[in-house]
Amino acid sequence: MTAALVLAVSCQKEPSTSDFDGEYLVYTAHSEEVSDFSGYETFTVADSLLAIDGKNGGLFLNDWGKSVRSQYIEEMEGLGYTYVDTGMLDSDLEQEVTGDPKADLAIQISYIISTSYFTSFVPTSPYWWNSYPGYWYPGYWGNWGYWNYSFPVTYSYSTHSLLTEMADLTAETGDDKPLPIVWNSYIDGSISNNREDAARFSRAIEQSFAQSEYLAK
Amino acid sequence: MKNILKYISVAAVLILAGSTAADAQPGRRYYIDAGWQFNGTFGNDFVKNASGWGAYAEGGYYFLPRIAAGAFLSYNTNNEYLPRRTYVYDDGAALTTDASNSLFQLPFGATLRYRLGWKAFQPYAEAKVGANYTREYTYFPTAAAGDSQWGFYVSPEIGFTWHPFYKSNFGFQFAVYYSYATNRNDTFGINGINNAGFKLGVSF
Repeated sequence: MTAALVLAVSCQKEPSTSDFDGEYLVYTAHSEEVSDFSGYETFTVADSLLAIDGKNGGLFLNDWGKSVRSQYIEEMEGLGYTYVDTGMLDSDLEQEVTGDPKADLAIQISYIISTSYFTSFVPTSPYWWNSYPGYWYPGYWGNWGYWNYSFPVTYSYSTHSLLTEMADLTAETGDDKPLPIVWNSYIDGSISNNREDAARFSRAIEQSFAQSEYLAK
Repeated sequence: MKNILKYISVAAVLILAGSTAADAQPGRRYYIDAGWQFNGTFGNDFVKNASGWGAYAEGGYYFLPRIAAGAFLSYNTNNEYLPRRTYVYDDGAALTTDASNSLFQLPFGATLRYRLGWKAFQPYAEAKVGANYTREYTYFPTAAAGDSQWGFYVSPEIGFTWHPFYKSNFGFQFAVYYSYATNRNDTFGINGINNAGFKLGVSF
C-alpha cells in the first residue's frame, strides 16, 4: 500500500512549459519608508551592468547592456526625472569627478547569468547578495557603510534574470550610515535566443515602470 | 435415432454447464478494478477545470451476495493556465506574469459496494471514505511555489461492471462519482475540494 502511494504521488502531471506565453515575469517593490517619490528630481544610472555568473560578478557593457541602460534613462525621464551624468566610470572608481554632478537617485542593473546564491523570504540583514564577490557595494555611490533594504525579496533561485535597484543618494552619508534601496525590479524568464530575449527584456522593463505608478512625479 | 438423442443430451449438458459457468463468473466473491479516471474540480478558487490525468484501482470482497467491502486508491492532476496579469499587493509590490495552477489529489481509503446483480452485467452503487492527500503548485515561467496537506474524503459512486466473456471474470467497468475533500490551504484559496468525474477501466 505504501509503495502504491509513493508511486502514485510521482504521477503528478506538471504543466507544459509551452503553455506559457514566453514573456518575462516582472516583480517590483518599493521601500516601506518611501512610497512617495515626488521629492526626487534627478537620477543617474551606473555606466555598466553587473554580470552575476557563477562564483564571481563582473561589470560589462555590450550592445545589449547599452540598450538596457538607455531604456532605463528614457523610462525615468518619461516619468519626469532629470538624468545626471555623474561622469563616474566603473573602470576608474578612484577618479575625481569635477563639479557636483550628484543625483537624487541611482540605478544599478544586474544581469544574473547563473548563480547558486539563494534569496531570502523575509527582509534580512545583510541583504542576500551582500556576500557575493563583485556585487554592488554602497561605497560605489558615495560614503555609505552598508545597504538598507526594507522590503522582502521572495525568489528562491535566479538565472537569466535582470535585477534592478534604485538607491536614495539623498540619504545621510557616513561610514556607519545605510544607503537605502527605495525601489527594485526583478525580471525573470527562460532564455531562448539573444534577439528574442532583448525584445522581451525591453517589454519587461517597460512593464516594470508601468506597474510602479508611484514613481511618476 | 439413438445418435440424435445422444447428441441432444450432450448438447443439453454442455449448455447447462455453460450457463452455470456464466452465472458463476460474476458471482466471484472478490473483485479487482483498475483504469483511467477523468476528474473535474469545482467549488474552490485555485483550479476549476476537468482533466484526464488520472487513474484508479480498487478491490473488494463480497461478504454478502450483494454487499462488498474493499479499498480504493486514485489520483488526478488538474492544471489551469492563468493568463498574464498584474497582481498588486497591499505594500505596493506588483507582480506581472502568467502562471499555471496545479492541483494533485491522491485519495485512498475504504469502500462499501452494493450490487444489483451478479450476472454478466452488474450495476452497483458504492460509497468511499478515506483520506485525501493533495499538492498544490503555482508554476511561474522559471519557478514554482507549492504546498501540500491532508484532508478527509467522502465519495458516492454509481456504475457497472460488465463481464461478457465465457468462463472468464475479465470485464469492463464504467462509473461516475462525486467527491468532497476537506483539504484547506488559505494561501492557494482552497477551502474544501469538490470533484466529479467518471472512470473507465477493466474488472477482474
